[in-house]
Amino acid sequence: MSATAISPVAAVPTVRRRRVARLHARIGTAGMVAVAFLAVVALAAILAPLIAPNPNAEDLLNITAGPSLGHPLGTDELGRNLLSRLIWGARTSLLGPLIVIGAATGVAVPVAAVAGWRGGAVDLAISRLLDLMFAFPGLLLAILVVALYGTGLVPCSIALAISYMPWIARVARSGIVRERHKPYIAAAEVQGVSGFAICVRHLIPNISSIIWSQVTISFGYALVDLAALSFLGLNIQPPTSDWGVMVNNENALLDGHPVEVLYPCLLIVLCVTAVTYVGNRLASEEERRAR
Amino acid sequence: MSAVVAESLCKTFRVRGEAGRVHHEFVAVDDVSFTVARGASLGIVGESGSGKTTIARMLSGLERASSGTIAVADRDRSTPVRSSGERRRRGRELQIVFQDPYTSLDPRQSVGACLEEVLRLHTQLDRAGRRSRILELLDSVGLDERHASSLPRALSGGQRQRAAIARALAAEPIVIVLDEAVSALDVSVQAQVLNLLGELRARTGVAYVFISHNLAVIRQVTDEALVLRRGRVVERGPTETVLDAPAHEYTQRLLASVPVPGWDPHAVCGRAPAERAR
Amino acid sequence: MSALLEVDQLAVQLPIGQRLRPVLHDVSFTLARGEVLAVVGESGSGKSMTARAIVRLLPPGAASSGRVTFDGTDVGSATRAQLRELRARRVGMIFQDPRAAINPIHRIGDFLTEALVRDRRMRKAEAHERAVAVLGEVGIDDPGRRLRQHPHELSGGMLQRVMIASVLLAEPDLILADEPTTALDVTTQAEVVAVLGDLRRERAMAMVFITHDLELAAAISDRVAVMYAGYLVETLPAAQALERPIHPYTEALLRSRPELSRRMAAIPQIPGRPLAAHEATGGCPFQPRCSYAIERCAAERPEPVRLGGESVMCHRAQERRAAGSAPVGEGTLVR
Repeated sequence: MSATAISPVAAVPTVRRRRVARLHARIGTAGMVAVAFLAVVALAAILAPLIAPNPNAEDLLNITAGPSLGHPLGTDELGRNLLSRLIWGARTSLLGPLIVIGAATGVAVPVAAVAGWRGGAVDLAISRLLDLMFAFPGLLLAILVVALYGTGLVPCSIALAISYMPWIARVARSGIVRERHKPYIAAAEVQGVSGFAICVRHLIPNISSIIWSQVTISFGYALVDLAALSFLGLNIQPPTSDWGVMVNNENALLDGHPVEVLYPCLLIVLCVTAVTYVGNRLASEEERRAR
Repeated sequence: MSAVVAESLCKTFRVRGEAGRVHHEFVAVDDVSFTVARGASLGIVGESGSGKTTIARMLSGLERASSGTIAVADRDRSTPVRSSGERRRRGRELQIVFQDPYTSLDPRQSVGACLEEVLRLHTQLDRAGRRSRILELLDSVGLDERHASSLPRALSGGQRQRAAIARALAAEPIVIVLDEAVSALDVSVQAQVLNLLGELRARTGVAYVFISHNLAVIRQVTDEALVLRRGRVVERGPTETVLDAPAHEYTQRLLASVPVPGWDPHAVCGRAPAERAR
Repeated sequence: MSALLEVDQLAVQLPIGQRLRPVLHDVSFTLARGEVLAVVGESGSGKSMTARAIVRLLPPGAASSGRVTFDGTDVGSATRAQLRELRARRVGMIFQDPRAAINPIHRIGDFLTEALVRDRRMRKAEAHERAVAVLGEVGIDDPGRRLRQHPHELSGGMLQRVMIASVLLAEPDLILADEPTTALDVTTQAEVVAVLGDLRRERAMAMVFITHDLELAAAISDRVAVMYAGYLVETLPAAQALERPIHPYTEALLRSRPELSRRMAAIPQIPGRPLAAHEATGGCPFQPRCSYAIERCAAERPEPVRLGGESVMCHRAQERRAAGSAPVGEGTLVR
């Protein structure tokens, strides 16, 4: 579509422009909007120290104020700049899920590969172990970990990573089992390629689409779960700004000033939706291209 | 020296009965022996359930024989591999080409990368050496440089099967097992691949174990043939003798099943035609 | 005798990628009552699409033109209800993979009697009786026991016979068989073909038999239609198909088969690969691979010409027929 409408100036596209076009072709306009939104949030989070004033600075003359030049989204009941708190909050709110997903995937994929590749008793043992882990609710595990190691982002993220791992592992394992019996894998075996190399070079890349879709869905869940842990007071502790902490502000609701709860809620919903949408589009596109 | 010596091969599968309780044993391959001389071509003929694919899997080490021995180039390969060196050596001795050209290549690997992987594993060639060898291999199966960078999905079924043959040739094996390797191809493409297989054998001296249900194809590419039925060899001999003067009743029936002008399918199944109206 | 089926200038386009691409080009043929027409071609030649287009079983987004007349009614303008009636009663379809066409959780008996009980309001016992009779007719022993079995308990050949039996129960006027024996062993194929042959003789049922095997086609049909790249390139009497085809593609296809009776030094092969229907250009679709091609073939697409009982789409048809196209089987190289 866009290829025919290239203007003379754009006739020699740069590498970056070509990449953007390719991404657009794969995830569509809605996907590009989602990516742009996530990019803005991530950039704001990274640049927070440069662009946002101290989120804990209290302007006691301006509590629960409406939008103004100094406070574009107004202030909370302690007179803290809401926009600034949202921007700083993005840092922990996005970092947490990244730790959760990174750790869970990093453990799950190798575990799944071993189970799927070796099969037999090894597969049975690993599968039973995963079943056992399924039985244990993630939030409960997190509460347990917090009870043992104290509150904070790292204990909470690790606890969630442990509880997310079996979900990703199960999906990856079933993909590997399905792929493992295809002739191209047998051909590599007959060539004398080692089991490790077959897993890394052939099996895992060929199930990447289903891993990706599971990972993006899990990212959304992790964001929500971590916010819930903050809400319960187990994760990030006030006064550090975090979207979950900000949602947990019953005073705001009682004082008839709900915007300071609404903004972080909105951000959580938008981020989860955007990540899940892009992930699913990429995965289904991947699936289509592989066939 | 023989390319392949298989002695008294047996393969028994344990089949789980209903509700996972009753186990019974299914004999897929029952006391099959054969030898293939260097540069020779052995045909294994059979229908589904005859055990021909199980034999291919045992030869290539994808399945272990329940009993019996297999040696390729006088080296035993009945036991599981112990070292990565041995695994690679077996790869240099015997290669396999499968039936379905759509699943026998990694969908994410270009044809060139696929050959590159094999060459890295089996040769000491440097980057430039591998590059020229890839082009040589592609050329030998009737593909060219453009195909090296193509992913399998950009190729037709015949081209994919050529790529799979190039992959099998890359390690310069002594024997290639072809498991129904032309059965999924269109007639006009099948002819091209059959001619290619003939040429390659004449040029490189590679031996074939050619597994097929198609008797005309067996005639075209093999010197000797085994006829398998339910895991057992019912007839063996030079391909011409087996096809021109079949001794066993089953071989005769297989031959009578091939549609030719004036063919009468009733003769095959022993079913009396309802009425001879014609 | 009036034709049972008339297909006139049938063309189908399918959405591939972003646009509609042709898969069938102006296919025309007729089928008399009780006649068997074999449609032969390689993958992508449009042979399955022809069968599907007859009963308007086209994928979503497909566009078609031309006219299909079945027993005097225009299939193209049929209502949904008429189409359903057509597919349920008048035209039976048999596919390559019987396992995909039979619900695995139902017993064979339920599969066979379901339509009779539901659509024809037949009593269960009566439907059961009919099913037993028809299973016997397709050569299945002990039909009573088979009716109680599930599909996974039956072999592929047996299931294909069940599939044929299910089609027979509806007593259709026409059977569309799409590669019904391709997935079967050769000995089983012979059995299924024998069953189909008997039925055709006993019931005078018309059939369109789709296959890639020219020799099988000639063995079981009255006429053979050869398709290439979405075109019907030649229609000829079965007896003639293996002896002296006129179209160069039919001839080349015959020659490129390895022979059962002798080994050839090299099989006379057709260069290149079969063209997809949308790749065909302005000229004759077979021209790039044809050893008889002349200049005119690349420039102008030949119209089908009638020569006696045949219809051939080739500029050199007259000339080839007059010369008595080279007898096949002497191993003369096509190229």
